[in-house]
Parts: sequence; structure tokens; C-alpha cells
Amino acid sequence: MDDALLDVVLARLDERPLDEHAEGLLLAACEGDEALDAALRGQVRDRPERGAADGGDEPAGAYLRSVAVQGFRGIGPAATLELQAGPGLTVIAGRNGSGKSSFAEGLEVLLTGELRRWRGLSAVWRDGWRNLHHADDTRLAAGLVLEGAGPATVERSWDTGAPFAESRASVQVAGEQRTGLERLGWQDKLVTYRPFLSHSELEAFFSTPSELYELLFSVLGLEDLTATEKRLNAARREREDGRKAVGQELPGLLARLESVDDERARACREALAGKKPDLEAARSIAASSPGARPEGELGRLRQLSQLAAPAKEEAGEVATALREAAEAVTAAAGSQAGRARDLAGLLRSALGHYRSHGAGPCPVCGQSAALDERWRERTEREIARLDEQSAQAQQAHDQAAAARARARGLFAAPPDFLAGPAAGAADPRTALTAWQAWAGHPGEDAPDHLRLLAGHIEQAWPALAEAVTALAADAQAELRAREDRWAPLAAETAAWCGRAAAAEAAAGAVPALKKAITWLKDANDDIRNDRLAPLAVQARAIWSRLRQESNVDLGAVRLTGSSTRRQVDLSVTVDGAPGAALAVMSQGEVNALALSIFLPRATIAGSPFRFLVIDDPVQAMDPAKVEGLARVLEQAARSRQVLVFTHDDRLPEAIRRLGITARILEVTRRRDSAVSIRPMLTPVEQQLRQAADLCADAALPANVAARVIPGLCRLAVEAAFTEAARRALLDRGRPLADVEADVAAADKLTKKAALAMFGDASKGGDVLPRLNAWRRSAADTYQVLNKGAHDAHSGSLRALVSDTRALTDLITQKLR
Amino acid sequence: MLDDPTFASLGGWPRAVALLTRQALEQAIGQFWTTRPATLGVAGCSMKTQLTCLPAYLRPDLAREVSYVWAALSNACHYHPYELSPTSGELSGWIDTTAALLEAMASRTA
Repeated sequence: MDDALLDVVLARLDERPLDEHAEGLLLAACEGDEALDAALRGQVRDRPERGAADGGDEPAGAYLRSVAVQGFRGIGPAATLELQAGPGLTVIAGRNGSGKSSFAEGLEVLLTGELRRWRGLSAVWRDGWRNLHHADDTRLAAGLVLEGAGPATVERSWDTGAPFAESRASVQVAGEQRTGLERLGWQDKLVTYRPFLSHSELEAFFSTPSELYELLFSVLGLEDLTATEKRLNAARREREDGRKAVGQELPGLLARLESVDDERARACREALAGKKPDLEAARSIAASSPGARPEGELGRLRQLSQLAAPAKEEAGEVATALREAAEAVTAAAGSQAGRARDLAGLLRSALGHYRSHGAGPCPVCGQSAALDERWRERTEREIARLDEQSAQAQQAHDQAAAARARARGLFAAPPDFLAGPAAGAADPRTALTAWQAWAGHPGEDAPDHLRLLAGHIEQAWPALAEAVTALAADAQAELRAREDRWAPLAAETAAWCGRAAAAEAAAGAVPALKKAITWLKDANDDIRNDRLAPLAVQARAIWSRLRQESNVDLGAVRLTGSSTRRQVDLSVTVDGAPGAALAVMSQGEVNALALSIFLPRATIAGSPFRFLVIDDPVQAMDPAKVEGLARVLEQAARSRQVLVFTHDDRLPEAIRRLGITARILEVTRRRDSAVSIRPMLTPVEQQLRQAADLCADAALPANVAARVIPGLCRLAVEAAFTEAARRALLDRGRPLADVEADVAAADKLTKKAALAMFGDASKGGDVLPRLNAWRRSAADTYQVLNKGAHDAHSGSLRALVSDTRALTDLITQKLR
Repeated sequence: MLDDPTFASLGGWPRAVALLTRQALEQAIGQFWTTRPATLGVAGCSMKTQLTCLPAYLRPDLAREVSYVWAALSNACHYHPYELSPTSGELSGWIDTTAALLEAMASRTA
């Protein structure tokens, strides 16, 4: 964005502040795409300083010195239109078919490479661009005076038979290499400040509202503002679209989640189906490993898949141990071991009795003196023998107890998760039945229970093992099947959650972007109409001149809307009542209105073109408006070189009648497209003719004639010197504004002469010697005129007029 | 004549108005010459001559404006093939301008 425009934006931000985020985005967007991207990524930058803009200079300007055309349209052999560089009105008049428009069109083609008038016309129209009588060598050229560079020549030519689009164009600036047209830097400006206006364009000026908008908008230099708005809108749309696209994927994802019978899918769906999807919850579910949460069906399946029956070896060992223990017990019971242990117990009790009470009778059978020392010795030996016998029985008991304990360990109750319905393909009921049968082992009360238990193990274990192994395998398969179904969906869900979170984060900038856009839209409206205002004022002034008796009054001119609804709002009143501009206007009025807008636009400060070319503006105009037109053109010609091509005499007539200073050239065409140009009237000639007419009026009092006629003669010489001075100064490449200032400041004849001769108004003293060197009589005439302004002339006035004519011819010739 | 509707039924009134206005302007210019002895004779010259001489004695932009209006009135007074009569709007505009010019010229004569 250019600094001046950025300044306007910053100033407006002070008046109507935006919040920090929105302002940051706005200013970044003013800077460009990259800056906006960075700001959207969260980069914070300093607010630019105001007042960085400098005054904004006018671009280097250019005037036309000549237009030469050869073999193009109505012109055969080379014809050159000589022009006076500098502000002024030149009317080029010629009948239809005289070739005058070929100069205007030639200039347009020369500079732009195309003819706007031809757009949309069929090839039949375009094919006649070469002159019939001179088709081999088509060449267009223009002499220019470039500000800062001096004289230059632009040229465009075609090879024999080459199509219109294949031309070569070059520019030769005095003292430089011949280069391409880009040296002038006019490509864009020829569009923005288009200095050409043809009658057909006048007619089409209002054909589409958006085109007229572009015509006006492009000269305001606000493209950067539009670009900034586009940039912000693109960022907003990208984010909104991103969010919308992710949102549009959600119903499909939810449907797929619903179609899968999986508790994780259900949980994800619950998390995402709400008004505000819980992305974090869904993502953590989708990312978790299967069965990480032990509760639920998956947890149960996992337990089922890990379920195992007691190992075969263990079961076998336990059964064997039970049987061996049973054998040992039986063996111990059959021997005297039990009796021995019982007897040893009895004898120990008797021995205790003997120790407590001493020798005596037998406490069991009553045999007297049975207990004595000898009995004691014998009994102790007997107990030792009996103890050995009973230890064997004890060992069998212990073995049976151990075997029973091992067996008990095998018969755990069925686990809880085995109860309950089938989980998919894993049906636990067979296994449960087998397990219950296994666990329902015989009791330990029966005398033969060791053998019974062993038998139970051997009989029930195979069924249990088979059922449990099958169930575990089924559960495993079911788990795997569920995993296969879920894994892609989990990946999809996780990916979607990631995208949704990213889109959501990006969309966080949307409210700020919207604020910035709204602010800019508002600003755009005001800024563009601020910039348009001076142009609109001029347009209204011109319209009031041109409209004459029209009852249509032009009010404010505003640019409204944007993109496809952009248009120029011409507020118009008809007899004081507001109306729709174009509906109520005649074609002539529309043309006048178009001209009212074209002129200020083509003469706006930013344009390098100090010339404008208007082709046939008079066609549909009321006679009274031609006078208005002449005065409007006179006004425009004060600061611009205005070239007007016209096919009838109404405009030249009005110029003569109103005494408007202008150069009128007549274009005529003879056989074979030989075109010649003849000056009909020049500013010098205008004065001389008036002087001559006064000489011829016998009724004019001599004293008045003696005062007025020398004054007119002096004006003629001044006009000649002024033209020469402009030429001289412009050829040096001086800034155009300086040239005009110098010319305007040279308020005396002598200063003008010095400016023309030496480029320096202060060298008035050198003027007479130079004139004397040219021709003695020229110096004499000059002296007479310089004095005559103040005193009445005493000599022959007729002679003075013819002397003046000779002097102006000499000036033109010497200072060419 | 412009305001009175009875004239509307008569053809040619626009030219009559233009003619009268031009006469008023010409008379004023004539009077302007007679206010000083040196220019007494100019009043008898053709209007074209008078207008050519005017800038030498009157403020140039004022003289130029007088010329514009006289030329416009003169054009309206003459019959031109294919041209229509001036409208009442144009005419009242010229009358206003003429009145303003007369006043301005009168103040410059002293």
C-alpha cells in the first residue's frame, strides 16, 4: 500500500479504533499476503508510523508535438499533424472520410497497440486497418516532449502483410538508445488515465454501471484498498470454508461410528454428537489400546480370551498323588500300625500312671504287683517298637492330607465373568457348565474319597479343558474381529478430531477478520468519495456549462457498492425533483454528461498525459451545447493540450464566434488517400485577423484604431513568442509546471521574447540585438509594438499589421 | 414576454426575446463608448469592431463575457436551418447574464 493511503488508514484508525487483534490483521493485510499470513499465525508487529508519506508528486508528464500516420485507415502516403506542445486547444476539422479520425485512432494504436472502439466488433470492421492505397508500409509515429527528458519519438510499424496484432513499437528519447515502449512506463496509466475519448466511447460510457465505476475508481488510486479487502476476505473465507468442510464430514463419521457395534465407537459418537463436539474426549478414546478400560464387554472379552483350565500335567499329578495317598492309607490301616500307635498311647498313659503312683497292680486288669521296674523296662522297649510301627501310618495320613489340599486348589469356583450372555462369537455357557461340573467334586467324608477325587479329576478335566480352550479362542477371535473393524474407524476419528481442532483454532481469527473487513468497507466508502469529491465538483461545473437548457441538474457523484454491485451514483434532479439520471436524459445529454466526467478524469493530477484526444464530441449535441462545449474545452486547454477532432464546422464556428483562443486545422483528402493538413486559424492569426478587420472598418475613429490595432498586433507577437518559448523550454526537458510558471510570469513582451530566444526571461536586453541580427525591419516592428501598448500609434496601421505578420512569421521560422 | 402566457401561442417569440435582449446589450455597449469623448465614434462601428475594441477599454474578462453572450444571442436571433429556437430556459439565462453585464459595465464607465 502506498504511504499516502496508509496514512489515511492510520488516521482513520485513530478516529475509529479497532480492537488490537483486528487492527493488527488490518495493517498486516495493508502490507501484503505474507504479512497477513504471519499475523494470522500470531506474529505481532509494531504499528507503522504515521506521516511517512511525502507530498505525492505528479508523474513526469508529456505533450504531443506531432502525429505522423502512413498507410493506416484513411491515410495513404505519410501525413503529419504538427502540434504545439503545451497547454492549448487544437481543433482538427475535416469532413467524414477526410482521414482526420485516422490521426486520433493512429495515436491510440501507436501508444496502446489497440483500438478501444473495435472491441466487440466483428473482424469485418477490424480488417480494414491498412490503407487500401498504401497497404505495404504502415507506420505510426508521434513526437513527444517528455518532462525531464525532452523530445522523444514513438514509432510503431508493421511488416508487409503482418496482422494487426504483430507490430513493432519503439521509443527514441533524444540522446538515448532506441528502446521498447516500456521506457515510457505508460502501460497501466494508459488504462487508468486513458487520454482518448471517441464518439463511440462517449455513447457507451454508461453502458454498464460497473464499467463506469472502474473508469472513475481507477483514477482515484485506491486499488490497494480493494486489494487489502480482498486479502482479508480470502483469509476469512479460507477459515470459514475450512471449518465448514470439517463440519460437513461429521455426519458421515457419526453414521460410520453408529454402524460399528463397538463400545469405543459408541463412546466417540456420544462425545461428538453433541452441540459442541468434545474433540479431546473423542480423540483420547480413538487413540487408546483395546481393552485398556477393563470394564465393559471388551474387558470381559479380554478376560475370556485369557481364561485357561488347570494344566493337564498338574491335573494328572494331583490325581496320581490322590491315588498314592489312598494306597498308603490303605496299607497303613491293614498293618498293625494303627493298633501299635493306639497301644503305644495306652502304654504311655500306664507309664505315666506308674511314675505318678509307683509300683502296684495293673490299673486295667487288676493283676497285683504287675507294675514294677521290670515292667517299666519292658514297657519302654515295647513303646519304642510300637512308635516305629505307628510312624508309617502317620506318613500315609499326611500324604493323604497333602493330596487333598492340592486337589482343593484345582477346584476353584468359576470366575464371575464366565457367567452372563455371549459376547459376540464368544459364548461362555458350555465352559461355565463344564467348570461347574469340575468344581462340583465329591465330598471328603466318604472313606474312599481320595480315589473318588482322583476319578473326578480324570473324568471331568478333559471336558473342562476343551470347553475353556475353545472359549478363549473364540474370545480371542472376537477381540481381533472387533479390532479389525475399529482400527480404521479409530484412525479416521482421530484424524478428523485433529483436523477439526486445527480448523477450529484457525477459525478463531474469523471474528477479528470480520471486524477488520467491516471497518475497511466503511473506510473504503468514505475514502473513495473523499478522493472523488474534487473530481465530482469539476464534473458538475462542466455539466452546468454543457447542459445549457437541459432541465437535468447534476448533484453529487458517488461511488457505491463493491464487487458485482459497484456503481456510480449520479444524483440528478429533473426540474428540481430527484430522478434516475440516465433514464430521463437524451442521447445528447448523456454524451454531455459523459464528457463532464471524462474531462476531470483525464486531467487529474496523477496522469502523465498532458494531452487529451477527443474524437467527434459534437455529433449528438444541441447547437446551444456546442457553445458550452467550446468554453469547456477552452477551460480544459488552460492546463492541458486538448486535441479535438470534429467532422463538421459547428465547433470551429463557435470558437470563432466566441473568440476563443485556439488552433484550427483542416484535414482534406484527395485521391489515393493523400491527406493534407492546412491551418485554418492559429492564435497568432486570430489576433492579426482582428487587427486587419479593424483596419478595414472605415467607421472606426482613428484614435481608437491607433490604440486598439497595435495592441492586437502586440498580442499576435506575444502569442508567437509564447509558443516558441514553450517549445524551447519543453525541449530542454524542464518540468512542465515550471514551464507554465515561467510563461505565466513573463508578463511583458520583452520577457516573453527573452524566454523564447534564450530560455531566460531576464535576458530582455539581448532581444533587440538578436532581432536586429535576424532582420533590421523585425527589430523596428518589435520596438513600435512594445511602445504602442502605451501610446497611440502614429504611422500606417495597415503597414503595421503586415509588418507584424512578417515578424510573427520570422519568429515562427527562426525559433522552430 | 417570457412570463406572459399570451405570447406562448404566437410563433417566433423566442427569437423576439433574443432580439430584444441583444438590442439591450448593444445599446449598453453603445452607451459605454459615448461615456468618453475619445471613443464616441466607436458606437457607430459594426458590432464586431466594437467587441474587438472592447478589451482595450474594459476589464478583459468582462469584455470576453460580453462577447460570449452577444455571440450566443446573435446566433439565436438568426434563422439557422436545422436548428430549433432557443428555449425559455436559455433565454432567461441570457437575460440574467445581460443584466449582470450591464450593471458591471455601468460601474466601469465612470
